[in-house]
Amino acid sequence: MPKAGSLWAYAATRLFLSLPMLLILLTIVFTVLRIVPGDPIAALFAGRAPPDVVAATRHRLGLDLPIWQQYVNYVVQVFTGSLGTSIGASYHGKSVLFIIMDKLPATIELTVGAMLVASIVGLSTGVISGTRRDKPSDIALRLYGTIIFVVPIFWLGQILQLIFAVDLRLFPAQLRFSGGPPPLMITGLYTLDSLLEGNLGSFLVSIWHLVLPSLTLGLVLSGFFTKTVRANLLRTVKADYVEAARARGIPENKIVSRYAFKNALIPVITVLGLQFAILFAGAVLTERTFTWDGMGTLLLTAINEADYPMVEGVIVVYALIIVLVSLVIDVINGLIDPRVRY
Amino acid sequence: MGQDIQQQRIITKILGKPVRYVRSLFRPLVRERRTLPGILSWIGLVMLLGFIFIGIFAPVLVPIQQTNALAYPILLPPNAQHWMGTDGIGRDVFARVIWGARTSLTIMAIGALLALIVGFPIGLFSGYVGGWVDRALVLVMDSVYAFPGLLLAALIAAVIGKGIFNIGIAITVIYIPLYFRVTRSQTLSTREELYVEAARALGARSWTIMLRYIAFNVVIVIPVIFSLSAADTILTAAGLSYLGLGLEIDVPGDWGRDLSDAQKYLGSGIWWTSLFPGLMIILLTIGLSFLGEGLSDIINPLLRKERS
Amino acid sequence: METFLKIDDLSVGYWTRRGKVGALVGIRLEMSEGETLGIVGETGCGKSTLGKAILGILPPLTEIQGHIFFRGRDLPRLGLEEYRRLRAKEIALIFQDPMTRLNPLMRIENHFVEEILAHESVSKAEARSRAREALLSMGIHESRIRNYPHEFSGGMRQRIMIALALVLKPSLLIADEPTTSLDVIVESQILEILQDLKRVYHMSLQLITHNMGIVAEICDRVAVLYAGKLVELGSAHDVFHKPLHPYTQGLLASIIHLDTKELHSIEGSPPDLISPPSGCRFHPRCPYAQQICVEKEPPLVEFQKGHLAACHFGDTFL
Repeated sequence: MPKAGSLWAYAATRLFLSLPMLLILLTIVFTVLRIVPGDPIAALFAGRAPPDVVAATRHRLGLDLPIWQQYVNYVVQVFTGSLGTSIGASYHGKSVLFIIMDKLPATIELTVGAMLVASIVGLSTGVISGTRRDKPSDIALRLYGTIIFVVPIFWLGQILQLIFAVDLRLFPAQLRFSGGPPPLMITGLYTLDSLLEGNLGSFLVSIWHLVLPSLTLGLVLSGFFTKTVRANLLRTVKADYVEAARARGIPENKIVSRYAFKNALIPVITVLGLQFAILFAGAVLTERTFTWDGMGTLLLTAINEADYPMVEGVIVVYALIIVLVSLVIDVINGLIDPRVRY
Repeated sequence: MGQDIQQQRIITKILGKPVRYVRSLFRPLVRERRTLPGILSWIGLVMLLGFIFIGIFAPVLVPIQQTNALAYPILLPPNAQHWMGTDGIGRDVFARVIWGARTSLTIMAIGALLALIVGFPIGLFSGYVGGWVDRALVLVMDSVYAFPGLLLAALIAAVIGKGIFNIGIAITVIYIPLYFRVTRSQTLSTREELYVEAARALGARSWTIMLRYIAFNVVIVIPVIFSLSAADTILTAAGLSYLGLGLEIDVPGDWGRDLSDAQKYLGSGIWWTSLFPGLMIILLTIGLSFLGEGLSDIINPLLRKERS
Repeated sequence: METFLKIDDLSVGYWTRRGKVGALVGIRLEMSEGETLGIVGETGCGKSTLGKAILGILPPLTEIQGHIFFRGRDLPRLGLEEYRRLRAKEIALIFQDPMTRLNPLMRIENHFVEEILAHESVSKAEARSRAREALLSMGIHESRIRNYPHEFSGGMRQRIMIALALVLKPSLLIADEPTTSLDVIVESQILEILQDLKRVYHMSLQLITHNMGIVAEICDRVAVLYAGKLVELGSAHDVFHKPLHPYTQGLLASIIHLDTKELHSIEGSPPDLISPPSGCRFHPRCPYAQQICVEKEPPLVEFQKGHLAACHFGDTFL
């Protein structure tokens, strides 16, 4: 087991090394938004304001500065933790960071729920498929893995809505909460807040609302798990140490769980890191299907309102989360696999 | 002059192998037709060809373009005149679904082609020069690759505006890193191959050799990357349309937008405006991923065998 | 007295794309308690398959025919759970390549504890102390017991594997090329350990190897396999001094003249087991081959007491 100190040092190094990636993404977003023709301020006032007002606004936002200076200001701003103020119609004048913090919990709740669904469904189907190679159940599950992965998320969401919300009326098709005021904002995660409040009723309501969106997003992602777990299991069930364990009379269920499965999991965790990008993209679509007021909805609003500071802020936060996730994945891998050296 | 021909002949001899590969790209597909990857590839290929047929002949199959509102009564369930019913503003769902194939395939072709045109030379350059240029390019490409593609595409689509070609460009950005990676890794391995060394020793310009060689090696994997990324292209394009960032309203078929429109009527149990466009997307993406996975199962061992 | 180990007409085959591979064909072999039996032959002759067949750990879909009697039980007909309980407890196997035989994610100690608990109902603490003992007896200090496999060298890992094989005190140890992947110094250490086992514990040892030198050093009897068939069986003394099968003669000649560890100096290469040669499987490579060798398969004949060979001309080599 690595010493705690070295683990932190490793995490810090990794974080430092991911700064270039963050900077690159910032630069790409900046380039896309500022170099490409179009005037957000003109769009904002839609030609109704006098030119001097427009000019004043441009000056206030620093949009009249040379491009390179805008870029430096922007980067400095991001790295000092300030994301500026919104210039869009919906959140005009409000702190971008504040609005993002308000919307982020909804997205986190959705993605965590989806990850849960994806891991449970994906791991179990992957194990069944990998331990029953070429049997009918394996072939069926491989087909499932291939097909579910290319199903449009929003369409799956609509079909689930039609079946479970419209037809069977089992789950709500929209929003994060209903039947009263949502729990007081503590973390912003309705499930957690209602528990902190000690209100089991609203906890159940938030879970109830979470089911269909999580299922939609989670199922689509599960296909990837099914295939990766299967492929890695097929590799590890043939491993030399599995044969040796069998020769030592280790019971078969322990061979599968402690030898084959655990060793197969390491590469799965690594690719899991890459899946988070797909997860966030999928979350944007799922949020729209289920009128889920999170980051994706915010981004779309900001795009439609040419709210550049907000768009940049949202992208920065997404990039940060992705960097953090890949860091966490590395640390988890280090904890599971003793061969990883810091 | 004579020496040139002699040199050319030797190079052709050394280069002969990959030329045969390209010619025999179809041969493994025929040979493996009874194995699972082979069967999958064939199913996928047939499905893709079916869609291409539908896409090309959409104007013949459904002569009337469904762009006008209120051409028919609204929200008719599937019936003899309207096989897939009509949508919320009275357009024939079947007609839009058929024309949608044309739209999707066009975007897919533009996206994949642009990604190849941009990703291939950058990957070749990066792998060939190496050093810090290579490292920097890899870092940039990996950063883009790690970021949610749809979000990046949405951003670009929002800035450059709607339209089939613009969406193609927006999507390209996601797939450039993929083509870059493959080309680069092929370049790196090709650079060390004996025949490149041999050609170099014979006095051929290594750049030319590299280009021809890598081009051939990349050509083999292109069908695989293409069909694997193409399914994703279709989904991303539909996703952009679904988010309202995709195509103009006058496009005669746009699966993503139709699904977005269908959203409004779901609550009243109108299923046909959602089901059919979705099924079309799935059939096309399944076809592409069957083809892609089958091909990569067939071609990967081939490449491995040749390399060892 | 019941026989310790009796292999009776054992055939093992598995299917490949090209057809059925007869990895072992009609093997008859006995082993008595405390004996060290060497199983020799070239790579691919089926000697590893024999060890795995005895332990019942051949890959799924492998076809096994015939009997393996071990202390009165016919192993291939044992129930799965009964078979599992026998492994490591009564028959243990150590493999050729110690580098890949330990679970990289598990501490050495847990390998032992898991194995002991899989067979005996003892406390974890008891299992741990036995693990320590077993490792100490193999010369591995107890401070390293909580290390992971990747922290050990190849030789140390093989000693760990041997400790794992012996911790439950089995009565038969099958060692499948235990020293092939190790360097010479480590090899002699491992061989010393094996000889100690024989001398001190009177353990029955089945040593699978292609190295005739090792066989001469520690084996009581030798069985020679060729292309899945038993071609010669006898005491080490007899086989080394009076080899009756031309293949055994070739094996011996190769160490005597070339002093190599590998056995490459017999002309030709081992036959394809999917379509083996007719008659005597060795005839294409045999310097004495006659027409009869092509037509008729030679039976295993006892040419002198306890010395058997499958050669039409065995008596001419007496």
